[in-house]
Amino acid sequence: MKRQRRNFRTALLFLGPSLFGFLLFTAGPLLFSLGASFTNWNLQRTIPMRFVGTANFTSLLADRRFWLFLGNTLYLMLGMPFAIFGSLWLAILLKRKIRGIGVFRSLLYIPSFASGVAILILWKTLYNPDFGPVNDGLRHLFSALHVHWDAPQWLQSTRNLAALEPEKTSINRSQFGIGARDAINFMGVWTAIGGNNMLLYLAALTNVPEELIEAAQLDGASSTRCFTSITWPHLAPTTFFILVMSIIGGLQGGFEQAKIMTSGGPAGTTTTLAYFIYSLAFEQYRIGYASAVAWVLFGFVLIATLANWRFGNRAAEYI
Amino acid sequence: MLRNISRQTLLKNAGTIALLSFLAASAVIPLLWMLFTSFKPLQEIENGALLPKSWHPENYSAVFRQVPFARYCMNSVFVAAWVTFLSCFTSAMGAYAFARLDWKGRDSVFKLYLGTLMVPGVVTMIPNYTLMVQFHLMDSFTGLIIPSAFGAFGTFLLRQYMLGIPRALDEAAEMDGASHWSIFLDVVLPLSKPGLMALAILTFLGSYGSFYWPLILIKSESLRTLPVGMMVFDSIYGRETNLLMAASLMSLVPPILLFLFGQKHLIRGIILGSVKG
Amino acid sequence: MNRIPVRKFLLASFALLLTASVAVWLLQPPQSADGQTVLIWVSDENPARQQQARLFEKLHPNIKVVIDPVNAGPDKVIVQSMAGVGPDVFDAMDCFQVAAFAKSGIALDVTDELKKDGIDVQTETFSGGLASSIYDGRTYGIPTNIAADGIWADEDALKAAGIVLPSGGWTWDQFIPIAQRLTLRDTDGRIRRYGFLFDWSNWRHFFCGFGARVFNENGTRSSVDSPYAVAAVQLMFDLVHKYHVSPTPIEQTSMATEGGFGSGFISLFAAKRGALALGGRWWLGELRKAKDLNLRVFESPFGLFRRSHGYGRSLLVNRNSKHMAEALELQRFMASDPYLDLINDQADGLASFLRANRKPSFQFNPKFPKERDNEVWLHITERGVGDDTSPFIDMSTVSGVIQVQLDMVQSGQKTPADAMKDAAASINGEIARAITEDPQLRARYNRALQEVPH
Repeated sequence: MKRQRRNFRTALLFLGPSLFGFLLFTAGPLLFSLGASFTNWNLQRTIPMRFVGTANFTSLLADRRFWLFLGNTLYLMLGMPFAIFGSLWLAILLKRKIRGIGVFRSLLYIPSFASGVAILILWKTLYNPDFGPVNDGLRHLFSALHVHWDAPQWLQSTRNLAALEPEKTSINRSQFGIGARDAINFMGVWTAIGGNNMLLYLAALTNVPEELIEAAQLDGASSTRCFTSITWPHLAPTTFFILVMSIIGGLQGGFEQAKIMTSGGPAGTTTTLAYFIYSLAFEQYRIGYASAVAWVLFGFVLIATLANWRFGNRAAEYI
Repeated sequence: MLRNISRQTLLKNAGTIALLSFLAASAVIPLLWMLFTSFKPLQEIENGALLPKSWHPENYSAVFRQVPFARYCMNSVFVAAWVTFLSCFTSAMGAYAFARLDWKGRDSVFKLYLGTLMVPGVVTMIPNYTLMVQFHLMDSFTGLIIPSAFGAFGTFLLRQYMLGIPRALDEAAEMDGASHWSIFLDVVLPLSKPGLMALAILTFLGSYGSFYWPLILIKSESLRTLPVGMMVFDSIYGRETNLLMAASLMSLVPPILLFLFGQKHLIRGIILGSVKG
Repeated sequence: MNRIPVRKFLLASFALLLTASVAVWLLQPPQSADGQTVLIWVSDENPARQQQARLFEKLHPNIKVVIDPVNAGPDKVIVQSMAGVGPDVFDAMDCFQVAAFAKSGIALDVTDELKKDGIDVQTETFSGGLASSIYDGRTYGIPTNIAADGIWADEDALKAAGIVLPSGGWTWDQFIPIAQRLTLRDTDGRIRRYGFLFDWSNWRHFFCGFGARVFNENGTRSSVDSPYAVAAVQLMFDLVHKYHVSPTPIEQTSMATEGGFGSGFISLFAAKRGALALGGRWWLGELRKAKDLNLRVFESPFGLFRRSHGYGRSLLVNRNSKHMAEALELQRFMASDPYLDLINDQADGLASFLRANRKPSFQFNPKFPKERDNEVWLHITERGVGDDTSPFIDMSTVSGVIQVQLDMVQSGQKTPADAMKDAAASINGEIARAITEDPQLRARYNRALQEVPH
């Protein structure tokens, strides 16, 4: 008992700094922002602050922009499955025992590693519809193939592969094409495919018992069959982790892309919830409303994570 | 039979290498374009050739002339160094309490830590910003460093690592009458070095690349970090693509150096961070 | 590294970081020489502003002025002031901004100060620029410069086509055939030189010429869906798509050139990619660099009313400035002859005090003998009408809403009528939101409704 209490004191001493920071900068703010979401708090103090009940949340549900930006956020997550399966595919390729294959791993890792403002600026330049190298390359390719094709306007176009209309939640065939959101998705896949997910898959692949695969091959199983019934189930925990983290990241993502590459345009098509919150909180200083949007975003993350746990646990049972 | 298989493997390997070469090229070509463009004169930017006709290394010095680029770099490295140091230290202490000490409520507090890992940054960012406004820490390095100096993620990562260190060692030290503080410093920390290295690299990179927080907090030019400085550079000199690419490339040098020297640790850190307790 | 004990390593890193902190602290750029006061001025990144600051420093050697263009905008200035890191002086661009600064208690009321010093902005300056200095009958700012847009013409292009432009008022109907004649194509039909360059963000100019207003009389509702406003937008659309005398958005991006302060159209015009262009006298800041350009200035054509859009900044003082005396000195400088003459010399718009523009040295400035049309600028500016604004909505929000809708028109996705209807609905929605949030504003809104009956 005495030892227990002494331990508690020691623990508090060791945990102290970390706990202080945790309470002051994470847990405290979390509750604080929940409280703020029920007020009309504006940092400019031009309006007297008061509790407004659920007014922020009800006006949020009626705010057309919120739904549009939620749609944009989801659209910008469409690259995710490609990035995840691409990583897995790359990991399998890199798993082969060939001399010097480590060099490829490093090269493929560079884009995700170098990501950040510099890379966004680079892609903004690459995507320039008139003198950017992307369209330059495409034009050469198509003239060599004798195909007539108008090069995409990339970051300047509201078009998209789902033919969504800008500023509306409807579909219009004239909007079909490649535009800003697709450009950001392509870039996202380029950045993520050789990144951390690939490393995680590489590590997980070492845990797949090779004896099992060899035994199955001796029994005449095809490599596809080996993959679906041995490798893939063994990778399930990793896939599950990657999926959860990607969804969490995707739901709160898109800020840097919007801020650096598009200012959220054209016609608001690249404004995600994260950028919306930024502009509400730090450009208009509407702390109350911004907190409400942030908590709704948090709600989505929670739901996605919980759904993943349920689904993931069930999937794990099949192994 | 044996020869047959090896020929088949050889063929398959050649295919893999070809495929990987293609993929690696698509990963690297944009960065090569960046490199070559940074040496072009402005008139050559739109001509579509990858290589410059004439090489202009003076583009790099022009970057330093047009914006206080060296200062941005220095600020970024400075802030990231402090954040790395403080965050590794507080995380290691916290991890010790979670991994090495038995106390009431430990597991619930740990779950709380773990739970906040999925809280979107913007949720806590808004109150933290008002906190900085209240404390008059806006537009200061202190405001950049302190809120990032305590990471729940670091505590989690190091706890994972420390759990793997055999307890017999610190129990032996405890028998010898060593205090927890000296067990922590002399036994556990030295053994956690690989974990600490991994965390240090990840933290440094995270802080070096962080954009949102400096963007909203810093207003003086002399306090800007690289990502914010790059954004300003892009908005003012955005049409001088060659200079922009030179600046972007230079901003990638510290992370690339870290990658070259710390690849092993980095990979360990990423894998460690993905194993939930 | 394996040899170094952890304790020593920790201590060493800590010591290193502390040393670095001291170094970083010492390396902070010296803001000023000893004994100098530093004033922070939040303004735009116009190079002309730097020269203005240097002139002030020359006249007041004990003060150094640092211009901060990154933190412009009322939101930032107000919140930063409350956090104790606000600027000493700042610009207001329109009536809403001066209202925001005044209401939040950041702007200093200088009505009485100015009266003491014998400065009367109401009678001494152009009426088109007053909106950004006065709120609720009290004066907060001094207008710093003023502008209204006219037609820049490349005289060589006019001569080559044998065209003589009228020297007084003229209409868009007269203008269009001339712009068509001035549009040149190369052999494969691509346009080499446009007849007329204008920026879509300059919609207010077209609005003014059609008598269109952004708000109704009392500012309670938007009237951008009026037939006048729709006609103005239709004209902008037609200039691009029907008559093709102005570039489409895609054509604009493909004409990318080296930048400078202001819009890309200035450099396009300087590069002779357009024969005529809609712009202000402040374009000279860039145009003077194009030595081979022979410039003339004409009044802009109009739709229904012979008016143009007047706009101007004002300089306000932060009530919480730690250097109040020096800040007031800088504000007062905006009404002094050396400053007014510098503005006219720099062609950073026109000096806002009328007396500076009546001088013979303004009508003909020996430093710039090629510029013969300053008299024309004076007439244009006198016809400038200020922004019509509403106390119930932030003008940057309004501009944002209208810009999005104009983007839709420009790219052919909406008709002008539909777009302006949507813009009006958005603006009215924002007003409704603002008055539900703020009871004081709501009271003011209700009063405004009663004052002017519909």
